[in-house]
Amino acid sequence: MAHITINQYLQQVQEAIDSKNGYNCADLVSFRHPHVANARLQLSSPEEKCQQVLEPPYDEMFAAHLRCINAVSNHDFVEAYKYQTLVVQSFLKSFQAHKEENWALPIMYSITLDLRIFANNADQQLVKKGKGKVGDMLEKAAELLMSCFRVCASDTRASFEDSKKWGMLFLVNQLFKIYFKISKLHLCKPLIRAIDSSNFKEEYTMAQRVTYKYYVGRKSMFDSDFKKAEEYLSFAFEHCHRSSQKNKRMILIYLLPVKMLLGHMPAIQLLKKYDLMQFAEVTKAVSEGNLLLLTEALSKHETFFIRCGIFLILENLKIISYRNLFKKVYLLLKTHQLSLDAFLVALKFMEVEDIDLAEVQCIIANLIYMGHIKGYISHQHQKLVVSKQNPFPPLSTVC
Amino acid sequence: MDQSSTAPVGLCPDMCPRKERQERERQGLLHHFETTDGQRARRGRRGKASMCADPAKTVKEYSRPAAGKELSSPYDIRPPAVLLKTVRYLLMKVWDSVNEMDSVNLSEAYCFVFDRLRAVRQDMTVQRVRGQLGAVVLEESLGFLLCAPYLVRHLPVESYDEVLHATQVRESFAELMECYKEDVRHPREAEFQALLLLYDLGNLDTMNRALKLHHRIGDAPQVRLAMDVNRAYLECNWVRLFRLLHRLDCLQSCAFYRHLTTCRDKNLRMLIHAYSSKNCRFPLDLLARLMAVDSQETVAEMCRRRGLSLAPGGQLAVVFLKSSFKDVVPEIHGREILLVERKKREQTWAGVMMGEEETMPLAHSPEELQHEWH
Repeated sequence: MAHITINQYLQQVQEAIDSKNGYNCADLVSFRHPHVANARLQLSSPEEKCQQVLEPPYDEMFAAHLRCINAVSNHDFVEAYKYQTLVVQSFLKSFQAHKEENWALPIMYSITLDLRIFANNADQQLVKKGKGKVGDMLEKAAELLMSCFRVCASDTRASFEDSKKWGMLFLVNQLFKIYFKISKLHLCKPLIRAIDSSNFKEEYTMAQRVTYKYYVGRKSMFDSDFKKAEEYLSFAFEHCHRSSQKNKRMILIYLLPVKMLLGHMPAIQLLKKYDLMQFAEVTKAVSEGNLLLLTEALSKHETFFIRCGIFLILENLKIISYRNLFKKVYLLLKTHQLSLDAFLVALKFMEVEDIDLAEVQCIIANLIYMGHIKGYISHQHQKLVVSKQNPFPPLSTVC
Repeated sequence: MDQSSTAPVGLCPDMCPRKERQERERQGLLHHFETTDGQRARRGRRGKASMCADPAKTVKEYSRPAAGKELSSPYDIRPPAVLLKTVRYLLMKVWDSVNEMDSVNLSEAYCFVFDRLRAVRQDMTVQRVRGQLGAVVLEESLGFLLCAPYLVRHLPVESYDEVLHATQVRESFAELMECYKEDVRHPREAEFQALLLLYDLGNLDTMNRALKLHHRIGDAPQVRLAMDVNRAYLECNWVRLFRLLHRLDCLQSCAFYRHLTTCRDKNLRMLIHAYSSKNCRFPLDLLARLMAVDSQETVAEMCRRRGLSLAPGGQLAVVFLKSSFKDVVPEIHGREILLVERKKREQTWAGVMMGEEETMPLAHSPEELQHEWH
């Protein structure tokens, strides 16, 4: 296989297309297949050869692929991206014309994946040279992926098995990767709507569903919809293949803060197993209601947390810490009518600076409103009156 | 494929290309801000308008880019320096002469300035203007775009379309942030990063990006203040939030203005649940102070709308009861003396928009805040 001639290669392509063998064809245009290392395929002008063997638009598509191989071997990803764009555009021409058949989906998966990777590399090369800004190429790649998406989504006539709609989720996941990278999260919304309303939802492969749940979970987290974030990220974590430890770790980075906000603290073994000990002190601080330690733990791993985009979510664990601290005050004072001053003292003890009674009242009021404390505040008496039964409901039952 | 090398360079020396000026003069499509002596469109007997364009006052209109429309010639596009001159003219000459009390005048001026600024940004986009000059044009345009919603809040949707306006703000901010990514120092960057944070209150994506700013910008007092406002919002610490709002300057307050009624609604909702007791009272003057509402009547009305009743007796107080709480939509945006207008002080609105005066924000409201709970 490794050193076939250009004619042999194009022959194989022709056979794969004729027999509608999408997987073989996808291999022959994929950069994860050994043929891209074959020096005999690196021609400077492959167009003529391709035209002799292949029908349009496949001649154009494979000529662009061969040129792309050349560009990659020269480490010129700007060129590679340009030709990969041509590959996808030519492919779309034939793909669009396929009626009631979807054998070509594996080809689309393969070439769009390469498109995104090359766009990413091209971006980096351009930025290094001081031309263009980060995300320019990725943004263009996203537009092309959207054209593919539209072809798939509008295939309404084909039967279930032959529908191109099967391709939607793969593309959506690729688009998510781009939108998260270039911080255009608002563009995810219509894609999510399209997938959620599709009747294929449960039928896609588990790998694709895990990726989808991971990104939608992260998106929900940014929208402060923590319930949904927990549901989606938990699904992703539980169904992610056990051999993908790295992916499971990535899911956990977002699942942990969400779980903690909802009152579930992770076990230390879990943190050890996934090399996420950065969370250990945060967990401890929150469980103990130790605001002093929480501030320290956050600033100690600030860079890591900011890079992952969870710093602000973790800061909000303050609310849970207040609840845990105030519960201690209640247990200590053993009364149902608690002076507000007592809470101020507790906070000052935790070196919470520039805080006064007015803010303490607001913090307590918010805890009551969220259901973390059962009771009410009396303004006249400057007291928190808590319920005789279960004034601090267990965290996991509240949110 | 590669279009990056073909950005046109504008050569139009005036605020309005000569061709457009003559055409609109002929068709009677001049705005009265653009005519000699401010004539209004008067149609003669043959339906011909008799207006003269004043070249010093005519400004290029926004026109929708349409497919098939011929590409504009360089003489129809204004270079960055002319764009800046245009923005300054719109703010300092047109807007500065507006009588804000006269809603017809206000509406005309708003529509005129909004449209012409949109055309300015279009010229910027076509030429892909960046750099310091590009940033200044966007900054000053944003000054208007951020202040105007406060001033035109009561205009009907035909004059002031909130959604369209917000789109312009968002896109202008996006382009400004691109300018800031370049390796040039922009004197007003910290100021506008802070304004974006205030405008985008509670947006975790915006906040996350602010955390990654260079510390020269991220540690600037304006950005810290804006981040603190956002944190208070995320934590639902309304007491802190409203205290911080007193420290915003006028332009910052205008940027925040659109979130004000939602914040008050959330605050009140929380209080009603947390202080819910038949036997307790909550003083109205305290409630007004907490939420920085200008008058006790306003705050009383807010309570009544939500199904609460005022307690009888000397001091005006409200009875918070969650069982009588009615879920209503937040109030429409109204006048804010304490949080907006008082901060303008001696400045004109055009001055606020241009960021002319380096205002020292007031540390606290005059009603000192320390004693508010007793």
